[in-house]
Amino acid sequence: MANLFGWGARKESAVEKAAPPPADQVCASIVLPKFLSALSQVHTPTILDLGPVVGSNVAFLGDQLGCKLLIGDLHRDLDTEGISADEARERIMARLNATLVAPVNGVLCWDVFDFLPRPTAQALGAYLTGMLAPGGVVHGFFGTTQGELTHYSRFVLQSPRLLEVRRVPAKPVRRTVLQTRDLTVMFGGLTMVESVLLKSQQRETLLRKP
Amino acid sequence: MWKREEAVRVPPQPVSPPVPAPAPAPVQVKAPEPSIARTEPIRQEKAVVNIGKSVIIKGELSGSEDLTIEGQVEGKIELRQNVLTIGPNAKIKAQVAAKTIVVEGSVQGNVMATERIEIRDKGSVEGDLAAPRVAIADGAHFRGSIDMQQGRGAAERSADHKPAATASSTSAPAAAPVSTPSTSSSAPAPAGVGAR
Repeated sequence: MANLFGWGARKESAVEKAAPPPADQVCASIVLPKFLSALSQVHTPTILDLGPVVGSNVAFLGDQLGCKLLIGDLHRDLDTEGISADEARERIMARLNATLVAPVNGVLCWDVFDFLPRPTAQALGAYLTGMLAPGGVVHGFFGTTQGELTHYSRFVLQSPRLLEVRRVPAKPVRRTVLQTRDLTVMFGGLTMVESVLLKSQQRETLLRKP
Repeated sequence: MWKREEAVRVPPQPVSPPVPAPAPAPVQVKAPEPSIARTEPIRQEKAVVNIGKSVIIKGELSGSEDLTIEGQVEGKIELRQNVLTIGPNAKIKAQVAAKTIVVEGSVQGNVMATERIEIRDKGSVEGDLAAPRVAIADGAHFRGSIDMQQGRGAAERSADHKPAATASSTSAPAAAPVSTPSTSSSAPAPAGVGAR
């Protein structure tokens, strides 16, 4: 009956606009344009992307910013079978050490921190803070509720304000919840420029190095 | 009547002389000759050299023909003016430089193209990419850095080299330093304040 009057349909459309549910979908971002705007002030910025490579993002960021991109793809390390959390941390840190030879202007964390054990997240946060150039920015989505994660997201930039979120199966892990105070400690020395709580219970955050 | 029949039979004889049809035959043989001559150079231009699945090369590989690799190469690959295709079965541990590079297999090492790098959906690269245009398909694996600015610089440098190379090979070294300022002058094209 509810469908007859269109009540159900209205509810569904409201949910779609508000939050990124598990299925692939497109969502709006308020924080991302600020990230891009901060980097547009820099000539040939260097951006570190901790997520998996997305071909269209490479083209998009190349066109928008004329930047140099570093692809970390940490999910690949985390999804490796038969590897302990400590080994994963060592592997990630060693590789980042080898990759990052100069300061970076921007870091795209996406939802990677949700999948990292707390010690790894803290080590990575401190390391990224150190590697960020003055004026550099960090963008990320941080989950605020406990739960098991079975999928990670591939974020596809459709425009400076629109993100397509594609779900990819991942090795199941318990989400590491990082509250605002955790982020402040982890990225000590960075200023929280923007933090928006989404209906998906993720906090979209932008941090900046003074 | 008899005479008539003979008279009738006679004409078929002159008809048979056209049997010298072998004469036109050589004409037909001659015709294809020029066509073969025309197609040969095209074949040579489009010829793609293949390195098969079972081939393992350790060292430096360079040339001036398009190349498809299906085997294993360790060391260095350089095809400055040509297309390099790294096939689905190929395993490369090398520094790779070519005009256009298509990756369908696995590469460990830095990849540089003066025109374009394409990583197809089953392709995998661990290393740094430098090219003016980079295309990475969904499902491809890549880890490393992507520098499209440096690639542009390399493309411009190679474009600068081309006329010098055609004019005379000795002038090429002189052209190299000239090309460097030209690339630096074109660099500020992207509007930036130059904060760094």
